[in-house]
Order: sequence, then C-alpha cells, then structure tokens
Amino acid sequence: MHGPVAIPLAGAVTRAVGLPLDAESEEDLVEGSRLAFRVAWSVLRQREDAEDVAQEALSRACRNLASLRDRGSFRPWLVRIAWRLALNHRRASRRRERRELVLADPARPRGVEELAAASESRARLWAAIDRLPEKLRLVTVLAGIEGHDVRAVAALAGVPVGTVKSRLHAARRRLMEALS
Amino acid sequence: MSCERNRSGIRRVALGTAPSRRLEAHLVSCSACRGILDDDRRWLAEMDEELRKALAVEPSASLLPRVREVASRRLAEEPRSRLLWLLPVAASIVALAMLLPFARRIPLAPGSTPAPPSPTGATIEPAPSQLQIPATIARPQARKGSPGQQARGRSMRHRAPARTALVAVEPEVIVPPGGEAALLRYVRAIRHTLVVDEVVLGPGPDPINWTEPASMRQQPRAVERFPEEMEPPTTDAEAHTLGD
Repeated sequence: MHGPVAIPLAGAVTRAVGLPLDAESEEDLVEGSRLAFRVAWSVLRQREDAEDVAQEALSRACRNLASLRDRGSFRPWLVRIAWRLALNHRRASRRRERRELVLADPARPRGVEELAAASESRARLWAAIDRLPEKLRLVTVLAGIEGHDVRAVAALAGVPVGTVKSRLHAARRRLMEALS
Repeated sequence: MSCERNRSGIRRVALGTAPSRRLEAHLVSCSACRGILDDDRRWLAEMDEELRKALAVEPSASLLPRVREVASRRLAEEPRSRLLWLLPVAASIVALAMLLPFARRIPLAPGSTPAPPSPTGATIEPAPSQLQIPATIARPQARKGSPGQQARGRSMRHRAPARTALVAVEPEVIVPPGGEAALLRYVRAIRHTLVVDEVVLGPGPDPINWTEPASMRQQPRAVERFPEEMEPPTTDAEAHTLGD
C-alpha cells in the first residue's frame, strides 16, 4: 500500500483542504498569503482591509484552481488577483469616504493607526506612488517587496525583464520629480 | 560646460543610465555636479529603503486560518459547481422531447382522422369517403429502383404527415345532372387505379340543357354547282390561254 502522496502543484491550495503536502507546498501557503497581503496593503494601507483582500484573493485562486496548470504561475496569478481586488476595494472605499465626509463632523479625530502611519516622508512617498500609472505602480510595489529582484518582478507581473527595467526606471524618475 | 544643463543627465545617471563621455568628463572635473549625483543616488536609496520598510508589513496571525477555512469551503463547493452547467442542458433536452410530438403533427380537416402510422412510415390508408391516391404516388417504397431511388423514397418519409393532410381534404366535384357516370368513366380512363367510391351531389349551378336543341343542329347543305362558263379549267393549256 502507498502512503500519503505529496502533491507539489499549487500546494497552498491543496494544503487548505487537508491534503498531505511537501515542505515547499507549505511554504506556498504562507508565502502566498503574505504576498497577497503585502500587495493589497501597498494599495490600501489598512491592515484589516488588506487582510480581507488577501483572503478573498486566495479564495478566488482556490475556486479557479482547475484552470491553472503550471505551479510556477500560481504566485503571479495570485498577485494579479490581489492587485485588482485591492484597487476595486480602494475605489469603493473612496466613494464611501466621500459620502461619509459630507455627513460627518469635519473636526473628527483620525484613527490611531492612521496617525502612526502618517509620518510625513512616508505619506508623501505613498501619495507619489498612488499617482503613478498602474503598470508603473505594480512593478514599483513588487520591486519594493523584500527579496524580489528584477527577474522575480518580471515573473510576478507577467512581463519581460526588459519591460520591468524600463518601467522601474520611469517610475523612479517620476517619483524623483514628484518628491524632490 | 554648464552645470545646469547637465542636471537632467545627472538624474538619469543616478537612475542607472550610463553617462555619456562628455558628462563623465564633467563629473570628474566638477565636484558640485558630483555632489548632486551622490545626493540623487542617496535619495533614491532612501526611497527604496523606505518603500521596502513600508512593504515589510506582516499580516496578522489570524489570516492564515481564515484563508484555510475559506479555501476549503470553496474547494468543497467545487464539485457541485462543476455540474451546474448540466442543468440547462438537461432542461433543454426534456423540453425538446416534450415538444417533438407536437412538432410532427399537422392540423387536419375538421372531422377527419389522421392516418395511422405504418411501419415504413410512407403507406397511407385514406378514409373510405376519400379518394385513393394512386399506388405509384402513395407507395414510393414499393417501386423497383436503384439504391439511390430507394434512398430517395426513404427520404420522403418525413413528408407523410403533409400527404395525410392532403388526402384528408374532402374533394368536391360539381357534376351536372346525369353526368356522374360520364365523370366516373373519364376518371377511370385517365387514372386506371383511381376509384371514386361515391359522388356527392350538390345544388350546383343553374341547370343547363346539355342536349343540343334541334334548332342548333347543323343541317346538311345542298350542293350547288357552278355555271358551266364558270367551271375551272381542266388542263394546263386552257389555263395558259385564259391567262393571256
């Protein structure tokens, strides 16, 4: 009789249903959730919202797992889902905030976490990043995540390495012009 | 060389572009521009570090269990969702099966009954009061012919309902009084296999006297002869003389 068989493909998902996995697949789950969270956080800058988006991104990845044939494309797929969900979430939040601002007291105190994250330089940096075009913003964020070199960013964004380099160059030039 | 003109070039070098020879020579000789380049590089490094620190945020410990729970729930729903596409297909098949008998039926004349289907689907048994279709038309499958012709005969089966409706129409022939026997003889003469079981007499148009009145009968005329001087010439010589 054969014992439990390790399933290498998209291990983060198969782990979720209790199937036996190898160590690499266990790492997929942890790294996948962390990566989705960071991508979502780069857009939202709200921990709770980013976690909700990361959870939804992994959930959608599980639902559409049948259409995924290559293990190597799981993380780029997850990044794109998380990025798109975060953008949609931010648009909805901005609409909601505009509605609330009309009704709320303008002297309302800001939240503790919001105040803590609002150091001047970091706030200006994120404001400049938010003004970047979407393609430039995605490669900037992915390159800013620790451990991602140009090749990793190219794999996650689904574009050639040369495209990543040119986009990074353009993004940094725009950030310099905006911040200096 | 003006330092101000090199400002954009210095920024490109700070971003990673290789400097031109002229700019490289200027940077060697100009400490101010070299300082600007160093400041730009330092600023970019600080920005990258700031971004890296900002993105080093870790999710809370509750995210992983939540992800596992949701993922397992989604995967448990997966087998059912894969079969959902079969529902409209099954409904369409059932609807077609229910509509098929109605699609093959053609409305018949009131009071007539449809012909019962035969094993071949082409033989038609009309009602007793109806004209019988000649066998050469009603039974194409009985003809001896090539396989292609037999195949055409089989392909005619789908027309059986239309032929049934044609036969079911009650024929109406207006026959003058006393003309029934003549009509029957005429029909038998042109179609040997056509049998008319009964002739329904109706009011018809105004009665016509079909016998020719005596006043209209052509009488033989009396033959009148020409006077002798007006008799036509009998020989060519006489004719030539007359012509002159």
